Amino acid sequence: MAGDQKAFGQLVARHQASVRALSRRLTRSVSDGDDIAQAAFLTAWRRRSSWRGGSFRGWVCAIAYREFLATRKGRVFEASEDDHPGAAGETGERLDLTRALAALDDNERAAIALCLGAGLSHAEAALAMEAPLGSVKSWVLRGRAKLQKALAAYERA
Amino acid sequence: MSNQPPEWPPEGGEQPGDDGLARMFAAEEAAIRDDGFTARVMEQAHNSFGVRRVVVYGAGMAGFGAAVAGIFDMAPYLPAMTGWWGGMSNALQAGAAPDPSNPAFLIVAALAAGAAFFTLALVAQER
Repeated sequence: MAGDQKAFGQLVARHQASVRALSRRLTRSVSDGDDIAQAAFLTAWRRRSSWRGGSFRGWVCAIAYREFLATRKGRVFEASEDDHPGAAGETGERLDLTRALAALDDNERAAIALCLGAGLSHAEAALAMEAPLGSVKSWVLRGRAKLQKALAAYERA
Repeated sequence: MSNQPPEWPPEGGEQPGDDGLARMFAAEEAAIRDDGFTARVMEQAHNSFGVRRVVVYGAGMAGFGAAVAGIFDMAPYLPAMTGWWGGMSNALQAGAAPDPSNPAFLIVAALAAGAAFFTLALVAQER
């Protein structure tokens, strides 16, 4: 039991940034995102025996997405200027990435956050989103194109 | 006539490719410090397990203890559960008609209760 906790603590420490970044992008809020990430890790801890191997990060990110959906049913996440992932000393580039992500629709943002941000495969993202693989691929394509257009200035700089 | 999509080639000609976007996402992720997050998660994980363990195993031991007490005819020392037990006993007798005074029946009931609590404990740990 103690060994389990220690190992799990190491996994949390290693992947907390990825899961928090994903959750912040989904909720467009630092505090709400961190709450989702924390809930996701606790769910992962309780259901650790159901983890069948593979990418731990992908598994927890999928749980975080489910936590986000479950939490969203009961409330509306409100992005504020003071509490978004790009606030607090962030560079202009990161601030614009945040704004560009906020301009995507929910499915595009989730697919981009899962695939490009958290590094899930299209198939893993489709499983997490409970959506057809083809839909996820097209959300990623459309979202990527919109991000590329919005962020073109930074590539030129 | 070109068969390219209307917006192709994209305006400006220079846009961040996958590498550019990946770099931006990685930079955003790298800026997130642990700042006690892991400690908070592990503290909650530890606490949630402790409460669950006490509730589940406490209930299991109480049930098992009641069953054992029944086997050894210690029922008079337990809290009165006559109404509850009587109703359940009548329902059982209406079905398979077991004899509650038969030690074999009590042993089977105790084993069934133990199995049920063990299953409950396993299920609760999975949730």
